[in-house]
Amino acid sequence: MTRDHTQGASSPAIVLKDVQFSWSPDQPPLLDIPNWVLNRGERLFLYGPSGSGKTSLLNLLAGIILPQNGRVELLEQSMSELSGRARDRFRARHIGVVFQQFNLIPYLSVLENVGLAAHFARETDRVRERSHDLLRRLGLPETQDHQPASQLSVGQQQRVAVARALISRPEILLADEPTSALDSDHRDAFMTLLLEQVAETGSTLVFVSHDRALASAFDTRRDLRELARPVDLMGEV
Amino acid sequence: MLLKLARRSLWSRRTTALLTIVAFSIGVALLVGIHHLREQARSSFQQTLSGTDLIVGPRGGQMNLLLYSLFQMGQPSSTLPANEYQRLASHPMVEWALPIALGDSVRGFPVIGTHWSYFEHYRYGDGTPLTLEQGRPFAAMSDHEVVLGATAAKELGHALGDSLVIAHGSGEVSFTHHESHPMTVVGILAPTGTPVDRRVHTTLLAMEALHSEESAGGGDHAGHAHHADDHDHDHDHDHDHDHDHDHDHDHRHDHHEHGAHTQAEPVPGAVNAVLLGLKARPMVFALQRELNTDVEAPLTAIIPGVVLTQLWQTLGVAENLLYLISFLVLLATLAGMMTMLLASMGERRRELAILRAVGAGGGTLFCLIELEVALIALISLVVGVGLVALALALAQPWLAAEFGLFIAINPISPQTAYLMTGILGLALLMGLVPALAAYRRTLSEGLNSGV
Repeated sequence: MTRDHTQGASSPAIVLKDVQFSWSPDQPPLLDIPNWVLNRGERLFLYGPSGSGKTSLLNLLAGIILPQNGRVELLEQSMSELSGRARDRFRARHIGVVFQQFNLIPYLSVLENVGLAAHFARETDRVRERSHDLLRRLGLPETQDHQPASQLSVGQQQRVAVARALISRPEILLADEPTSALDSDHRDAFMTLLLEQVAETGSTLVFVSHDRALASAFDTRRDLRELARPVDLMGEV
Repeated sequence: MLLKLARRSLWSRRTTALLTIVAFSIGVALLVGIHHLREQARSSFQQTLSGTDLIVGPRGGQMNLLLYSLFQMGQPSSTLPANEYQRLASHPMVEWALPIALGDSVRGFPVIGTHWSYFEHYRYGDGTPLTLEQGRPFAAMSDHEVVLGATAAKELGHALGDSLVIAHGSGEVSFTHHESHPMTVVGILAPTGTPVDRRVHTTLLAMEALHSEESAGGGDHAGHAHHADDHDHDHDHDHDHDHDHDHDHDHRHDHHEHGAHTQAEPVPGAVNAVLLGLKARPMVFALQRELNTDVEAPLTAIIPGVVLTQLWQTLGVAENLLYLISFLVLLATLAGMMTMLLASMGERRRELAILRAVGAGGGTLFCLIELEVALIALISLVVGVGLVALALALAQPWLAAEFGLFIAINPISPQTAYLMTGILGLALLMGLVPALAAYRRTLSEGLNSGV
């Protein structure tokens, strides 16, 4: 691959302009973001307590939903200009997602879970070797490669999830409280691994969490509420 | 990849998937099995008789003529005039003529008086001739030899050389036995899967001999000869013959009305029906018309294939009902599958969210669910058809032995292939419901990764 994420580090990875969003049209907007820019290669800690519109924001940033008003631009590509299918493909190629937990298809093996992401990204280039590499670097032993994901511990699952999210070398990595299911020891180890891998890939990282203790590792820290100014804090459960 | 996902996903829910497949397979087996049996029954029914161009009997109902001449069911309304058989046999269009004389039985198995050339001309299936499993045909001029059909031989427990007593009438229990004239088994036919298997064949001569002896010493039954019109109007032919005594008297009147040939002395050559083979098949309609409008004798001539088809159609109602029921069973199992998949959508929300996150679109998820439906359907079709084949393989010897039914074990034919494609299509149609649910859920809920 010739993609070089560090090139043009000053060009924006994410631009949100006058974005308003709500899940149903007759509700007041959950998110109201007048202007937000995140540059490529930046690593952002976004403090987001529950009810702050976190899920909605992640869906917007993943190109899964479109705002009622305003513009979402990812890697200088406006999401509303793409068809649903094109957005799916865009997500597969350029965006990695790590959830709080349940990141893996339980009945597929570790390798298959990682390969699944590459499949949807239409990536065939040495997927197996790169999966092996990634998994080893994330500290997962080879003996577990063929185990069903459901047999792994939560900590291991989260590390596989990182491998799955990074296999297509996405420009943007979205992480939604990936440490919330881990105990503190595992959490620290996980954070170190995650940041290492992100640095290696050169991805732009949006890390959303309610745990301020994690913030210290990041270049940029923002509070989702000041960014988003949700109209109704209780709107999202 | 999607196929692998579908396969693994089903495997991860194998208990429910297996139950669904079991139910679905039974539905498939029922529908395919009934379809197959129906086709087999229809074709074997149509092939009860082949090579015979016309069946000629005394004037009467076409269906009745077919039923008694071919299936030995019901009673002939009267006999053909004595000279009629000779006249038909020597007709210029006729190549061969087989007489059929009915009216007697051996413990419920009908006795047929006929001509030695029966074994040459009588055909079934696609023109298969009768073959003797043991022994030989009866001698042309013999009056005490019988050839048993396969079922008759087996059920009666007779082997070659055994002697047996023919009873008067067609019932299982008869009070009148032609005991003074025992018959000898000289041949046993190979099974055919047609009414031939139940017949006891003998010569016309033997039938006459039976009844003339009977008339010599038989008191009350003196006048019945071998003519099956003894039993005129005795429609419950399967029942006992208590009634015969009553009826016999009535019949005498009939006989008088019909003419002198049915009087006390049996007339050689008097028969209930004649099977005709023509020199040229296209003449069949001409001859049928000629015989049906014959002024010399009141005759009915039928083309067996045509009347067999009519008969099958009258039986079709029950058969269609069975078909309908099995179709409804299949629908019920399909609805069960739909419910199973819909219910699984709840527990698979996360799975779908993950797929969505790695770039699977709504369309992909839709395809995934439909693929699972297709897998379930295909497995069920294979298992269902396998079940049918297995059941047939197990039941075939029994069906052949008990009922003389020969059912092909392989249920796959062009029609069942259509049927199976239809079932698959229907399953996919039903699968639209959970598939659309998956599609819409992913669009409306987005990445609701959470718990």
